[in-house]
Amino acid sequence: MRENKARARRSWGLYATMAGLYAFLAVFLIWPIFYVFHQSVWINGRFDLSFFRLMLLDESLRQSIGNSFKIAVLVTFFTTLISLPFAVALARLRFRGKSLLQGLLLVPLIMPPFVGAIGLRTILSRSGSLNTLMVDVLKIWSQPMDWFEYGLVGVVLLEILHLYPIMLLNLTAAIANIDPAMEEAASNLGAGRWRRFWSVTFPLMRPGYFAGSVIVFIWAFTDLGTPLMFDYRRVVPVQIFDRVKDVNTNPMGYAIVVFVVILTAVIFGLSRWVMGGRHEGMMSRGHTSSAERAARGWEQTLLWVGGGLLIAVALVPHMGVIMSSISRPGSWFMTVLPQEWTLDHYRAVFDRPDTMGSIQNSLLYASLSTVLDIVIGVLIAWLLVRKKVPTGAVLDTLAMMPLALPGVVLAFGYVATFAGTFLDPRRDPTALLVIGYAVRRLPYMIRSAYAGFQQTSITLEEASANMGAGPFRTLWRITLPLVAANLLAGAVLAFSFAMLEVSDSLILAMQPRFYPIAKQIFSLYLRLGDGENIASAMGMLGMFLLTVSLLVAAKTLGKRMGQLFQS
Amino acid sequence: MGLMLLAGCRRRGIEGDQLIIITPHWQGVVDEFTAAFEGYYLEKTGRPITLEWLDQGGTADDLRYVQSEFERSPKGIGIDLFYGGGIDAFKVLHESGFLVPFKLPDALLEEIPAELFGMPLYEAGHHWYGTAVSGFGVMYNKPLLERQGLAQIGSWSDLARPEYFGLISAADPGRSGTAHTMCEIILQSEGWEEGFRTLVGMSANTRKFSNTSSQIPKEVSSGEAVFGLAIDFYAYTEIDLVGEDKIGYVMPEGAVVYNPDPIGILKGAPHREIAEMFVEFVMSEAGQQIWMQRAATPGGPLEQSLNRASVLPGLYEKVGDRSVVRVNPFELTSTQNYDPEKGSMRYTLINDLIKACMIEPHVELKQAWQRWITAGSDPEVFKRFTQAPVDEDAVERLAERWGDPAFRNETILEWKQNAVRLYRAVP
Repeated sequence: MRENKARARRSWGLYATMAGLYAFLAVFLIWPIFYVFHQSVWINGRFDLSFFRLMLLDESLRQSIGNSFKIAVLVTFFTTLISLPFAVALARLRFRGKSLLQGLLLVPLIMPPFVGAIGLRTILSRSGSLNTLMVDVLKIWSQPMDWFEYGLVGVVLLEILHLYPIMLLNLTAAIANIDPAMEEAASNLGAGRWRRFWSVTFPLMRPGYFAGSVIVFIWAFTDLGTPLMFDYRRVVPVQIFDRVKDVNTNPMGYAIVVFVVILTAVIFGLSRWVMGGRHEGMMSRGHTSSAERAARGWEQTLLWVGGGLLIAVALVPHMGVIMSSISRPGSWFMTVLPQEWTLDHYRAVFDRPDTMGSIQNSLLYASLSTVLDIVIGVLIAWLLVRKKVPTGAVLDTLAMMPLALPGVVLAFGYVATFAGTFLDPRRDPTALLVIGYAVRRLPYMIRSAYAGFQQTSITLEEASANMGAGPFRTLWRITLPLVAANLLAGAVLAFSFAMLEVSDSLILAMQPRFYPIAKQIFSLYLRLGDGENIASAMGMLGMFLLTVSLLVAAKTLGKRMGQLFQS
Repeated sequence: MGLMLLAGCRRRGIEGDQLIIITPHWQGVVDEFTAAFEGYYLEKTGRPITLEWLDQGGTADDLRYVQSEFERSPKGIGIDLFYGGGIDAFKVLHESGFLVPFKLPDALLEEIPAELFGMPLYEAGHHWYGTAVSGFGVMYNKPLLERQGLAQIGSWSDLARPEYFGLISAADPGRSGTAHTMCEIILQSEGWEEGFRTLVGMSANTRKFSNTSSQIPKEVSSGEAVFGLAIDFYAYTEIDLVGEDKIGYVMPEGAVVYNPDPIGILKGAPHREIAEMFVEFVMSEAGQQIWMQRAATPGGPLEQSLNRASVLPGLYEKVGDRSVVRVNPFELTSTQNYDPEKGSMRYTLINDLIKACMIEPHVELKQAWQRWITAGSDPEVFKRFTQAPVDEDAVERLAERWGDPAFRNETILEWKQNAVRLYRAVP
């Protein structure tokens, strides 16, 4: 009798937890999106599609939509072009220094791209380093090259350089997962190398490629920071950003956000359909023994030369930011390099109350959101893997939704939905920033926990249950310590992404007192005087932070790092 | 964990006296006035004060934010002061009823002239006061100017010279108050017909229209543009940074226009008395010295020179060579007075006109410009495609009907189509 009661009590605990999780996701994920949809079609008490019509009629909005598509397509295309040869080579060839090359190719991930914009502008501007070098110093060109004649160029370039590693990781994993028996069969039947690639390899690799493309496409379409830094405003995310201020007087913003949500849903839907049965991209089976062979001499040379070139170009923005952070303001005027150097800007970062304040703010927000992520992520993963609770599939889908949700959408939704409540970001954005970061990183945290659970044997937990421990006690004392390594890796990444997060930070933090790092950098960049240099110094510190955390995560997760960047 | 606590402790609420100000001013102004007012307040009341500055972007952004907030909460929006943004923004604030009157003590009020070359320096009902005045002109990159052998700018119409193609940096007058004022200055000082032609030519020479005028000094410094339309203190601040040998600034001949940069107390201000103290401080000699003097001079700003002309004519002599203000506006003569009423009456219409004729068809305009230059820059052809679609009187009539969105959008579309047709017709 007592045992039955105990079991019933344990079940109640589980159901209560589930209810809590659903409530959290409902309030902070479903409700804001629903509210935005509602506001976009319910105008003056009637169902009214006129704002969608106006959106299509408005020239600048049409252009913005067109531009965003252009950017997304160009970025996806070029990242594919760049990554594919390297992915094939890295998956199939063996050579000395392979892991070094692999690591170097991933370096651009550590630079938050919108900081890179500062660097790119200083180097590529008409009287910037490159033009001055080529025209004045080396006298190779007679005229400076106008890189930014089409505003798109800077944005697209920067996004390509930042995103190709993600495409590379996805493609490499996809190719590595192909069963070599297929390709052997094809060559046994007489297919040449190209034919084999197009008929066998590429189709088998397609799901992985689509996974990567979807991430890259949506990211490029919805990136707010980079176009903002280039003052390139005819793109959808900046149009949304501009309309956050008007949210009470002009409902047009809602229509645009709804458009973005529908677009991303369609793209994700398409990708799931194309990828067929592959379930949610969870921890896939470990790769089969690879069909690696030793690389030939010319192949190695090509790899290193190509790789070297790519890395050099990818590091151009970083170089610009480094130089901007140590140059004396005014001393880098139409010369290749700054004429005078100084560490003042780094000192300023630590001296000024606004920069130090923003670092403290980010530390607070990121810590809280990471804790939230760990708690919720572990609970969800645990419920799904170990407890196999009813409606598990629903919970899983909901929790994975943030992957498809661009930051600008969620941030806009929060501003609109919670206006006038105690969570109003105009008063104090702390709560919503923490929750926003947490919600957006949740899928990654769940994945880490999931991976951990799959790796540890359930028998230990069963033993604990047999000895009378309740489910939560088992979770706390047995399971968690076993998956700690995975959780740590996930937490470290969640923390560092939250520290440098751009979209939510730019939109939700409206008062300087609450600025996180990203918004502080943006605000500094807009200033006259040494603002840009201090912004660069902050960007460098951000880069350092991200590097350290990626290294820590890589060490802990090892080969499975790539999984984290898949859709 | 410790870091978190540290961070938390620092941020928990603001105790003591506060003042909340929304402003498009750049950080230098914010820093210097914060420091100065903190000292002033401490002296007067013996208590410390915390100033909180909100900044939503440029003037237009701040204005829209305030409008949106008043929509939500008409009695007051939790902000005390709107500081800076140009006279046009304050006209809108005043007309919408968002400002409350505050009369400065007579002794102070007497020192301030009522107007300067047609521009009022404070509102007759005391709803706002101009805290400093700024002139408008063109800043330029000296080394590039020399290297490319370009002629210097003398008058506003020089901006339409074909040899400046692609070399000008300008802001969208619909987004930047400064840019708008400069367009209005050109239209008034050159006359409607000639002024419009100048604007078309200038737009054709503009690379791209940026959102805020604070981008312009950067573009000129980085060589992206040779010329940039700038308000005087942006130019002077950039010159202070990179040196007089690198950046120059010229105020074109003709009408002299000085725009006051106002401050006003918002309706429902949560800290009314402190707000009044702040306004008094800014308009007093102590506050004005912060605008005018060189950094680190007694009575002046601590770290940054702000390069702004005071509204107190008597101060110029008193301050002497502690001042960094290059030109004393009260000693200038102008060929004509600026008519702010006209400017404010047709504010939105001018924005729409420029957008329809120059900004939206910018690509076609630039292409036509290039063709025209290659074909020999025939002045007759120029007259044809730079023709304004309406004359000045018509503008006044249209402005009255501009509140009707259907009529407004129709007219805008008509203008745009007309402009594109004219540009495409250039041989």
